Amino acid sequence: MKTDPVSFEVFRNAFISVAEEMGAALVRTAYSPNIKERRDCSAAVFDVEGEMVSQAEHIPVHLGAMPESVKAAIDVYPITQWEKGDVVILNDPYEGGTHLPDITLISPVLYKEEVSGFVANRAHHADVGGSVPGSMPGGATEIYQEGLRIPPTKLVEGGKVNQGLWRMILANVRTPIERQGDLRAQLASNATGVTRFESILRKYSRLTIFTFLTDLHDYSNNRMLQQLQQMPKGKYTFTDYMDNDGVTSEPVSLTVQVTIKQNQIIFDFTGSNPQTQGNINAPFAVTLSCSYYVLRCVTDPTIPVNAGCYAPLKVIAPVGTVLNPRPPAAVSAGNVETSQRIVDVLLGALKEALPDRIPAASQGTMNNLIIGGTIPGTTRAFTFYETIAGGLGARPKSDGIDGIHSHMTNTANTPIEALESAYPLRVRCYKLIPKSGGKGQYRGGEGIHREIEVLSDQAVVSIQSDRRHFAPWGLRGGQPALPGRNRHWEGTEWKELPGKITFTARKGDVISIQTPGGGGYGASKEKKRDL
Amino acid sequence: MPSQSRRKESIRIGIDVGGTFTDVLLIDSTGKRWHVKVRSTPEDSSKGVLNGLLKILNLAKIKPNAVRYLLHGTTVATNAVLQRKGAKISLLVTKGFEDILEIGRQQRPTLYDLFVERIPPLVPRNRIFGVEERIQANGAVYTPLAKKELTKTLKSAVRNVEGVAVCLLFAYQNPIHEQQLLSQLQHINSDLPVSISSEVLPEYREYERMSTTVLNAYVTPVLTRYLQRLDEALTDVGINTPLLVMQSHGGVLQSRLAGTQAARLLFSGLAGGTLGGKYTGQVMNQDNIITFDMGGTSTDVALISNGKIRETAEGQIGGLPCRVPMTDVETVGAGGGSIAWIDEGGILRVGPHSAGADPGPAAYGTGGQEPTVTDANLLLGRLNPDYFLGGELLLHSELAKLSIQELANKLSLSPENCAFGIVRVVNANMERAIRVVSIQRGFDPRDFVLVAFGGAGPMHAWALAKNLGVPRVLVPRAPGLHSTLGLLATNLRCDQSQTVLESATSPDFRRIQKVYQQLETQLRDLLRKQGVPQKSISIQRFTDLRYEGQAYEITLQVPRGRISKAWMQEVVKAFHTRHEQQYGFAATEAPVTIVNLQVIAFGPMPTLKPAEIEPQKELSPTPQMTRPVFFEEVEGVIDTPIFERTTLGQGAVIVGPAIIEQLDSTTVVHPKTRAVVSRGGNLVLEAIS
Repeated sequence: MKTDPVSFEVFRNAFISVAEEMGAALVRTAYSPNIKERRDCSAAVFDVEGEMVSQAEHIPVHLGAMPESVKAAIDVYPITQWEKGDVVILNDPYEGGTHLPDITLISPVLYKEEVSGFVANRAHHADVGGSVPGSMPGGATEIYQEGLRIPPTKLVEGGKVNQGLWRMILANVRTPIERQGDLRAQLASNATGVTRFESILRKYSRLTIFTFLTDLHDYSNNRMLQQLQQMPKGKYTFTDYMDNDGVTSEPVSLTVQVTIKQNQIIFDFTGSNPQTQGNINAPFAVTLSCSYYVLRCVTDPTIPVNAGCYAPLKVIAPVGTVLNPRPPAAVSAGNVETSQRIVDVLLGALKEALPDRIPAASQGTMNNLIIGGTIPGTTRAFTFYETIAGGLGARPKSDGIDGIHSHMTNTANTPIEALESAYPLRVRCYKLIPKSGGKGQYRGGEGIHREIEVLSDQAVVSIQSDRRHFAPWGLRGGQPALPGRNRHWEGTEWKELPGKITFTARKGDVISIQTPGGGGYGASKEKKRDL
Repeated sequence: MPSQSRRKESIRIGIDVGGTFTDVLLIDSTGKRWHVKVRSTPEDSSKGVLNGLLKILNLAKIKPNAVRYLLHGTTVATNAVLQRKGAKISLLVTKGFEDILEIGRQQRPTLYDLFVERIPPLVPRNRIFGVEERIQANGAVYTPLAKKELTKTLKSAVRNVEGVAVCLLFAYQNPIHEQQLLSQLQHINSDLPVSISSEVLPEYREYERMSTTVLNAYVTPVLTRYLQRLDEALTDVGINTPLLVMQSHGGVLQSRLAGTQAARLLFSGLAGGTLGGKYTGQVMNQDNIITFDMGGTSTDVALISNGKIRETAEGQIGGLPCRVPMTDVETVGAGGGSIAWIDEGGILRVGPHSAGADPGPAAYGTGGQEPTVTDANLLLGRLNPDYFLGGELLLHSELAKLSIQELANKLSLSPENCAFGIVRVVNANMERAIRVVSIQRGFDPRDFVLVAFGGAGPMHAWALAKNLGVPRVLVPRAPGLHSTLGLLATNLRCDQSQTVLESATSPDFRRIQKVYQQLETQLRDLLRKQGVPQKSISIQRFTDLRYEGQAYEITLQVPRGRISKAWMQEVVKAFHTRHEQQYGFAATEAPVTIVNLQVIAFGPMPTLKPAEIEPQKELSPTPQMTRPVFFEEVEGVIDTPIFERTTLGQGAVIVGPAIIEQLDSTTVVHPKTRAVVSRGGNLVLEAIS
């Protein structure tokens, strides 16, 4: 290491500050509750090759996906084609994105007119057009139905916004004022990052900082290798299933072989289901994010996140499978549903290697609910989007947690009092489901029961959920949890709904979502014996 | 005696209870100060308070009945929450929503920890009761409060508890059901304290309102008991002025009213330092200030803009949200006792673990082996081993050196460079905290002065200021007593807010007018009850606004005139301007929502007479001695003059490098900077151009 151990810590703090200040600026200036209140966004700093240096992420699914975005942008615009004040926008899952609602903005950082790094931020937009409000249509079979697809393109050139592109984006979305506000916040966030990164370069010189960035990469890399060396070497496999793809009723298999070597860990998803007709395909960036997440969870999460931290990890997912689809497969649920199952299979595979560190399965879904319609008495459209928490799997020495977000998401709920003030909806109940966690020596966390009544004349409802059929599994004799359940009150009776569906509800209809619990851990008998 | 009565007019005593010591400061009408420090009595802090009070009255030769203002910052409520020693309470909520407190916002506190635990709610599930009722978003009753079974539910709720919290959906829009429950509960047991959300915090967002109401109910019995005990003891010794208690936002309230406003006192102990910073700024004609209070285990940082302390309603205590206004203080685990260590990757880290007071830094010689920031400062020559805490504690330089030597060997650094490394790293941690309160909130630190206090603040302040571009550092006359001084420089203050969620395009003007008037009447009553004459009450109106669909509000002070179209236009215009300033853009075409109306009522106390110290006699002050001190500017040691702070008169100028020592702190004057002593004895550090 060329940087001294004191300056290293000082610089490290400085780069964390850059990402944090970008994240703070984004949350502070964003327009929509999805970013401001639920913090479905992240910000990161990159070196000149597009390798990540630091990140302020609020939800793990953005973790590994951001570097892919920057690399895609550099593929389209080689390093010589970036100028001060440029901003590249993208959301195409087949070119650096994950699913269309996640829009990423990338800006170059210049030092003496030379590109010396990048900053980027990503935010989940509540609507990017497509066939239904919220841009996550159940039953979609092609990405074209899921909204506006933006390959890496310069939204701002030399500080001047490309007005044509700006207007084209806004013309293709349902809530343009919100989108405009959020895009402006994303621009402000990048501007903050550029200024800060540039001032660090000026203060310490480009050479000093580049040396530090190399050292930082090596530092994380070494710490990750130390962790790997302590793991038992070998091959471990596991297979789990998603209920279906929302178009057919066939189960979709996800399978992984984990190979732990002295200096490398391989997650090989060969053998997973071919890409599906429905929208549960996970672009490779999503598969990567989930892999990074699991690696961090089972190693020391205080290792600074950057490219060096992930260098010992190799992820294989053959093209044309559900974990690395070819265009134009529909992908909107890959990011929010399949991602949870990827974590489940990885943890399932690692349960033999790391027996004291792996919990039973958590709810394994995000229970995405989107309701869109018109506000009564106006012509104004509304789109409400939320994810609903469920049970956390029981752990080797403790119960799971009730009604909490697990694994790839951690977004806050929308307060009932905010929801009912803003949308023609009424929440009829919001509570835990007793005994929905798997039994065991340690019980799994409980799921949530949430009912929402539609108060507008009609509304389009999209549900993207899973674990309605295949329950979250228990571990070491623990029982599986109660799976989730979706229902629709049509005025006279409750109708069971599939896990993934888009339908029209009428005034007075109620949508009932019961989220899965978490699996139990250890056979119940042992507990009695202990007592 | 005329002199006695004149003194009575303004004898002020501030009592600040800390973890180890209770500080008592008395200031008379001439600005003369007395100070005593007594041991805190954590099992019942009123004992320490009384000890200190009697001691200072004796010292200043003042009769108890001559005291005009008695002000108190307390951590009784804070500790009750942090140590989970509050009252056993039950909670009433809207049926079907019994688990809101448990679910919270659905989020887990850390992202990558598979063994994460949720912070347990203050009320367990078996003491949460649903009642059948429902209010709609517009305040209309959708389901009336069901009478059936209600008495039975309420009787179960009051069984074996010391208090009840009530939080129903949309109660901020229409409190009728909460009020009905309150009166029925009082009917069942009139002695039981009941906190209803529409009184504690009539603002939207059910989880945060519920959490705040529960906190209020949880600490009310504890705080009421403590304040009653203290009030009685004060009356017994002949104090006949009401005790004034510090609230989280820095205004005070009479102790007999404080018990029912318990949630507003949860950060009582934090406000004093910021108020002290504000006061010092006022005296020095500075109204943009960053306060920097570095103690033994942690550092508190806050920001004052245009003479106003930044407040936040996003406070958390022990991980539980508390949405009442508090000073916006950022705390980091970095202090004199923070331990330096080497991580798995070979990098030097400092904190957040602290050696605390026990075993303390290695230099204390009380068993601590690990090197701390204090040890580093000692090794660098910045601290005087014979004059730490006024010589009460002798520091062992050789033990400090030994502990650092070991770390230095592992890092292949000289002991001095290692010690300086520790200082740089701890400074980097504290710099991040200052960046949070300034840059992350949209302020540029270059427009501010740093007021540095706490035992260690003045030692680190200049290096931080330099990194942040802050041009000037103020070191108050008594840095260790600054929080207690802050208690004396405050006003009586009451405030209340109300969520309205009105569109600014077509608001209900009459409703806004009415809500403001109601809030004002309520607060005037509260101040009159505390003896503030009607004519000296000052009222300020505020509005929280946001663009429609946003979830963050901007708080604006608004004119008090008639609520009309013109008023609204003026407010909206000011909102766009502020939004532009704070966030870099104004969406002038977007509709604006009025979220909350807020009123603050002040009962001003007479201005504190600023202290004035003797002028400097000789042309240049004489150092007590010299000693070698490490300075980064020369990358080595300089034989540095050491000054005793109390020997410096007003107008004295000390040119760096120099060290200025005093009982409770040490100020480092770096090369190419100078320290000027102000009229009131504050030090001003500036670069020599």
